Amino acid sequence: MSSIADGTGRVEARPASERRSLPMTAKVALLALAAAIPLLFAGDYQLRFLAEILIIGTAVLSLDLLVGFGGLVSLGHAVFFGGAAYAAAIAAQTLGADVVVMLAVGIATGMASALLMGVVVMRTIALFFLILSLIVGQIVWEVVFHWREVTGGADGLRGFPVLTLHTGFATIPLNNGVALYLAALVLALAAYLAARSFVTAPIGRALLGTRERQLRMSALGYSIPRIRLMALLASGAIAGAAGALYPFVNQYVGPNAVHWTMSAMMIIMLVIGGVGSLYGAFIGSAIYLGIQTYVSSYTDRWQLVVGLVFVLTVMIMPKGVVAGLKAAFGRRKDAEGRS
Amino acid sequence: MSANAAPALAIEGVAKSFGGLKVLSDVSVTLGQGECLGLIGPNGAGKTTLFNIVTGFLIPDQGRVALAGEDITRAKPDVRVRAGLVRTFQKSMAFPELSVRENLALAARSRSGEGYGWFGSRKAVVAADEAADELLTRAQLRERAELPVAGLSYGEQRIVDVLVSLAMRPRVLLLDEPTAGLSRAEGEHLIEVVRTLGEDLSTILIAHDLDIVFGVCDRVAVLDLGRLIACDTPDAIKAHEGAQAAYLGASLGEAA
Ligand SMILES: Nc1ncnc2c1ncn2[C@@H]1O[C@H](COP(=O)(O)OP(=O)(O)OP(=O)(O)O)[C@@H](O)[C@H]1O
Ligand SMILES: [Mg+2]
Repeated sequence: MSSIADGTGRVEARPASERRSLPMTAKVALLALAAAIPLLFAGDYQLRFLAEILIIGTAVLSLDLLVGFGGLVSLGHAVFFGGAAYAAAIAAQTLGADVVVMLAVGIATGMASALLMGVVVMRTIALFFLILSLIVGQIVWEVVFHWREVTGGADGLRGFPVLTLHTGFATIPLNNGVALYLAALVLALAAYLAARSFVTAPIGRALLGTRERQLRMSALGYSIPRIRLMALLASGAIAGAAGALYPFVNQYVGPNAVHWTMSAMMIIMLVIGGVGSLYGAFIGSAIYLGIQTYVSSYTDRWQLVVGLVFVLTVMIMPKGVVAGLKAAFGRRKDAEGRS
Repeated sequence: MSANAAPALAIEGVAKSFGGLKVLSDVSVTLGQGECLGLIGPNGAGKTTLFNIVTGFLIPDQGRVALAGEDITRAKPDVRVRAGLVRTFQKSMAFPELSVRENLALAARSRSGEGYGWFGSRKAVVAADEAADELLTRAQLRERAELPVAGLSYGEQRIVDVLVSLAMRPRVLLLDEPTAGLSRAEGEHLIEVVRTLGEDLSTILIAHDLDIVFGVCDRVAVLDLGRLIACDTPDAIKAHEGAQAAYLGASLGEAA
């Protein structure tokens, strides 16, 4: 956790600041470069796929706030994400699909779902939180599944107006791979910075305190329900923002987006990428969706591969793939240094 | 104390059982403004349970608790803390991996109401760190600020526990065996820290070291098997037969 706690968490578009330490500048430059590469080499399909990874990764990032920092494992997280996706898709049909409006609808829906979830599960602990969040999630899924006129029922919703960005002087359609990828990139970056500022701010420290020692936090005068509700709202807002863009990537949203298996998938992604690391959410999302997309064209048993990766991660790299690899390389360097 | 000023803390007719085990029966004590009250009694007498009831971690079966005249019997622990009622625990409750400064700052931010801040809380963070450093300086632990609490000696950790509680600027402070496991000199130093840093503080001090209790407390309450058998000045307690008996032959008169 110290890697998160000590940084200032600010990344700028242009890494030109002279005061910034070199490693940070280098990191940002590398990241920008890595983000730019797909624009040169990837086709429309791959860019849409990357956008999906970033969008779902953002939802997983929001889950990390709850799981990694609050110790709250939720099986209802898909409600924040999928609920916002539906809300955006439905709103787009009457309001049009201005990206800012969509994000506002998604964030509002995500926060409203989080509030609902908070009221229901607030006073419970660990296992009950897991189960209650699952029940809330299932109720929402039932509603989505059976309310055909609005949600399209089992078929879901398809065919939305083109997602657009209104700048002062021009309206840019976000309906191709490049634009969707860039939009998802901005979303992911903004969400990462917001989450990072959350966990380094007093509220994030307090949240971490409730994960470690609830009794202590009460004795320090902190209201645990209040801390958790704030974490849920922040998480819901981020998941909602991600959900708002989701329908526009594949022009489709279906009941699976709110199903508990979606929540479970997010938890698996989080564990693979690294709980409590924030950035791990994107790694986990990329690995999972990568396996799903590319292995499934060879075998129907792709979930077995995911399962294998999951088990191996938990056994060999319990802090997630990135931390695990870092540690492995660090150890080898240490060994070389000593010999 | 003027005639109409409420006591800092009033405990009235408190009773508590766990299942069939009666742990406290009809305990009434008041703590005057600025007073230091010692709370002694053999192991299992119910001292910590009484603290748990006063601080809201347990709700009594009977009786009530009032802070400066206001009934708080059913208030939540965090509400009581923000009203100025702060406790320490028998076992250290500091976050061992967090730095000493951060442990204190967590408390200071809670007190200032900035503990839930997100955006724009930079100033609050700095202010809490400064408050923490000031306390550490006054307790001569400033050079330990950056260390994780787990890296301190046991004696230092106990002082940090007390400093954390002082960072919440309490009006009433309940100390649960803060000197247990400390040498005489360390124990006296810790009490000195409380006395010099906690201004206008009313205190209840649980300790098994009777020298310390009789030395620093204005009055001493004796709890035995959940009953308050005496509450009086140190001299009177030393002469009290029931209190003597409760300590099974330990001669209270020879202490201090
Ligand atoms: N939560 C609980 N459930 C059941 N019994 C409890 C609980 N808390 C305390 N007790 C029992 O109540 C009695 C009083 O315990 P308490 O901790 O208040 O004693 P104490 O005076 O603080 O003792 P010590 O000096 O050892 O700290 C003991 O017999 C203890 O086992
Ligand atoms: Mg005790």
